[in-house]
Amino acid sequence: MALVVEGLCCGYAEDKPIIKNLDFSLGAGKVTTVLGPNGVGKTTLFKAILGFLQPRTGSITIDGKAIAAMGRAELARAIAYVPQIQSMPFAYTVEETVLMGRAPHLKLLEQPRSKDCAAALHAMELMGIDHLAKKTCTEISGGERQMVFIARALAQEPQYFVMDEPTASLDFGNQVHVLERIIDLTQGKTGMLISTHDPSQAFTLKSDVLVMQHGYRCCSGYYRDVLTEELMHQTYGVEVIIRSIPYAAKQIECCMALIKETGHRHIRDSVQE
Amino acid sequence: MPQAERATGQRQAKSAVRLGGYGLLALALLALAVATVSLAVGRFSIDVPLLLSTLVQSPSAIGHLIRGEALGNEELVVFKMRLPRILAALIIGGAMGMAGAAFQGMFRNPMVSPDLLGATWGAGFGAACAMLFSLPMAVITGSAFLGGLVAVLLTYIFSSTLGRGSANITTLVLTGVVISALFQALISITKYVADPYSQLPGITFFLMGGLSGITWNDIAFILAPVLAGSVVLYSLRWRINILSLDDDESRSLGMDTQKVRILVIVCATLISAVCVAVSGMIGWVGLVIPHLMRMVFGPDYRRLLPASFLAGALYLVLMDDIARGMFSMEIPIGILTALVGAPVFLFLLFRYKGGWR
Repeated sequence: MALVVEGLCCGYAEDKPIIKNLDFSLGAGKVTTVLGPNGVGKTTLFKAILGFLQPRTGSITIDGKAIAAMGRAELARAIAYVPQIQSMPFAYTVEETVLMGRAPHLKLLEQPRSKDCAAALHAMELMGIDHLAKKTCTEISGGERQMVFIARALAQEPQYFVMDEPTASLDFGNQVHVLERIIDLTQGKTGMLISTHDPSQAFTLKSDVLVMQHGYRCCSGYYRDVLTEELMHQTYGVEVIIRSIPYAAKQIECCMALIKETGHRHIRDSVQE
Repeated sequence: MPQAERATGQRQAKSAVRLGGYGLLALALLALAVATVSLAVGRFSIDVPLLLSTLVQSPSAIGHLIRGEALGNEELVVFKMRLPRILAALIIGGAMGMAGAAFQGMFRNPMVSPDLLGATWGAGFGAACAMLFSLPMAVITGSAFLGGLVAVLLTYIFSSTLGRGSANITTLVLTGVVISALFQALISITKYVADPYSQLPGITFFLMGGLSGITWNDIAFILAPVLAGSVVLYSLRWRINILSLDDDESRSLGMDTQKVRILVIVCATLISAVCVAVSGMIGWVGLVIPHLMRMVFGPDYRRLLPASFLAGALYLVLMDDIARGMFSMEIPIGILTALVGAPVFLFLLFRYKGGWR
């Protein structure tokens, strides 16, 4: 029972693959955070898993069945996609947007029924946005809109979620709100593949990680085993410290970049007036 | 343009009254009432009591009409001249409204319509070609459909190739303009080579757009294709919501996006082209009506699609009343809808500050 990627090679141009010989697997109900610099192929990997991009070689299977052999609706019942926040062409309400997640469970000419509306309502309640049901997606904040997309994915009732940088372009507070909801969801039975630009989120999620590096290298495993200061330096090209900070009888792990000192401009003594 | 997007979004949200099923029912009843009253409008004056007494006689009058027997004056005017015309206005207005709404959802863009995509010009060329060879009505209809389909597919293929898959508003509208111009030139060629005495007047009046020549035969011709296209579009109404999302999103929701898109293009083009074949170029309905309905019923196609059909029907009956009753001489209805539609389009451009998204 797993989503398995074996020897995956894919890309857009014939001679220049973006991903080469990638192997990893995501067990049912498990969480994996995907880390890596821009342009390393995180989004390309997601496109391949979602069936938007045909793999050049290698295979992607769910419970032993190749996704290439699955129909669109069948695949959508197995994997739900949470895209990065984007503008919507029309101002659908939150309720209407979440209800769209029921599409893979309905036939082409079928209309959503009351049980689909109930599933959508349940998904909105899980994400804490049921009070926004009648608002349009253009009226709500970016963080709330991300919750709407996650709720739509929940309404699909999939085995796996694929989330492409769910906290990108959100402000500080909304990043935390969305991350907290995602942590709640990790308790469920659904497997999750989450890409992020912020390595400290992998420490917060305490999940397995897949670190993709330039030059087609990658490593995967439990975050504590894989994420070392050297590896982060190798991946992102910056000095990083990973520390455990005691707080309220617990240890909080955090990962910070060491940023070059900027001189004395901000020393408080010098701004006396 | 995230800021512009937010601004229009907020304005849209404020004006969204979001009527539901009762709104649709009210719209249907209003269209029916206006259509009934319209039977009294025109040069031959019929007052309300006379209209009512004529309508009471309708079963026997229709019997006479079918058997080709003589009718009284007001029966002749109501059942042979005005009723087919009003029915045609209802069907054609509804079809144009629905096709426009479907195109707008499919192209993720509230600024497109059958005219802007070139569908009506392509259909006009197809019909004019068939008229050039004095072919029967069925061939004219089929040829209009083919012409419309070719024009829309050309617009779609060129704009999505230029926009690398994502058809953005500017490339789409510009491509539509180019394709429309191409078909207008082709129409000019058919007019140029047409026989100036026997064919040219017919083609010219046809292109101006009008319902004055509509007979029961024409209605018989358009009813089946319009019904078939509308029923398929109506059954797909919820899927058009999903089609209006980004391609990756709609595919991740388990939809065969390409297949549904082609189905919507074929149906929307079918119903608009068939109408062009009998009524000529009645423009702008497919742009203005769905947009107004989106303000009232919201963008969900489960309500927007039927609302656009009903409002389009109502609008065209009203326009036809003005065309027939306002002046001593009848005005071609295509001119009227353009006079109303062009300012509304300008208003939309101002509202969205010349762009969308």
